[in-house]
Order: sequence, then C-alpha cells, then structure tokens
Amino acid sequence: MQLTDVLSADRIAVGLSVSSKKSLLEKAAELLASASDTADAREVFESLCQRERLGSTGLGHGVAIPHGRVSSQAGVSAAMIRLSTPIDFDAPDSEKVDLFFALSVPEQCSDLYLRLLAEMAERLGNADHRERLRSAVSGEEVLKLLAIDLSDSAG
Amino acid sequence: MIQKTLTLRNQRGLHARAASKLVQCASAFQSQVWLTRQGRRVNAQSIMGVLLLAAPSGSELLMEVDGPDEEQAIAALVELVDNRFGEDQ
Repeated sequence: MQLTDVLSADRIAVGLSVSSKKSLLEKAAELLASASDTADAREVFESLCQRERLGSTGLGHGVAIPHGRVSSQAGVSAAMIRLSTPIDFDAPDSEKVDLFFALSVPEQCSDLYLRLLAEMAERLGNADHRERLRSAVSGEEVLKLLAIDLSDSAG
Repeated sequence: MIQKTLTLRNQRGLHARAASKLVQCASAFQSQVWLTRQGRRVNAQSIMGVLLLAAPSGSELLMEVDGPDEEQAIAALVELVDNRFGEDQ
C-alpha cells in the first residue's frame, strides 16, 4: 500500500491560510476524519496534538508530518496541506513550515505506518520532488506527482 | 571507523519519534554515523534518512560510526537502541 492509496483529492488542501500550529492541526484533523473508517475530527485532532506535545513532527526544509494513532478507528487516512504562508512549527532546523503530510492510523497499525512514513520521507527529502509538490495548484496535480515512482531516479 | 550490528527491540520499530531520538543522539557527536538495513545505507544524522529505513521491531541495522568521538558516539547510540528509545515496550 502506498500514499496514493490512503490519500484522495478531497483531502488535499493547497494554498490554505492558517495562523497557528493549533489551527493547522484542526484543519488536518478535519480532512483526515472525512475519509471512511476514521474517528471523528475531534478525536483525530486530540491524537495529533498529543503527538506534537511529545516532539514536533517537523522534518526540516519547511515540511512536517503530523500524525497520530486513534484507538477507535479501523482505517488509515492521509491528508496533505500546503499553506500560502509558512507557520512556526518548532521544526528541528527552526525553519517555518508550509508543506504538511498528515496521517491518522489505528492503534495497532505498525508495518504499514512505517512504510507510509518512509514514503513521505522519500518524497519530502527529495529536493526536486518537494519543490514540485510545493508548487502544485490542485489536489489532482498533487496526486499525479505522488504517483511518480521516485525509486528509479533517487537511486 | 567502528561498525556494530544492532537489533531493534522496541515494539514499534523506527517510527518517527524513535527516529528523531536517534538522529538527535547521533547529531550530538562530531563523528559521521551511517545506518544500513537490507542494503539501504542512510545518514543517521538526518531524520528523512532514518525514516527511509522503515525498520520494524526485530530488524537488524548495521551502524557505522567514523570520527574523532566514534567510541562515545557508538556507546550512546547502542544504549539508546538497547533501552528501546525510552519506550515501555
């Protein structure tokens, strides 16, 4: 299973404007909870906040991967947000963040979760791919980019 | 250069928080730290690198440390992994 299997165009928001980490996480939770087999937005939001309290999910280079485990949920759901203006997200390199991949998984999800995290790291760690994701203007365009197999070119 | 094979004992493997603890620990030293799993070798001082390993519990990782403080670095990293990154299980 890949990122494109758990993401859909209606859970991708490009050019969004939020003022704080909290409102970003609220928006992410709302998108994640709109998928089937997921908990309600409030529960997802609480799991995302709880995880951020343990340490920022910022990865550096202006990207972050907010994620959380929700015990009452059976499905795996991803969302993507690109902000029009980056916000402070306590990232390890202290850069502001504008590109977010969010993930909501059941409590016991393990291998799939590690594989999805690896795919996010691969796509966001590749400078060229990251900039293409950053300049995408629609959810459909993001999905097309995410369908590109990076393993051929990344080596 | 020091090499050591480590086994991940924590239940959730190298998930994001464990990966970031490992990167923080590795970055505290001057030495370069590399991790290899199933033929994939990554810089252990980069969170994006470490996440690429997608290493579940029970995985074997080859750690290579090279630099002036390699002995202290490998001791600290082995302790972190053996202590399951401070996780309960």
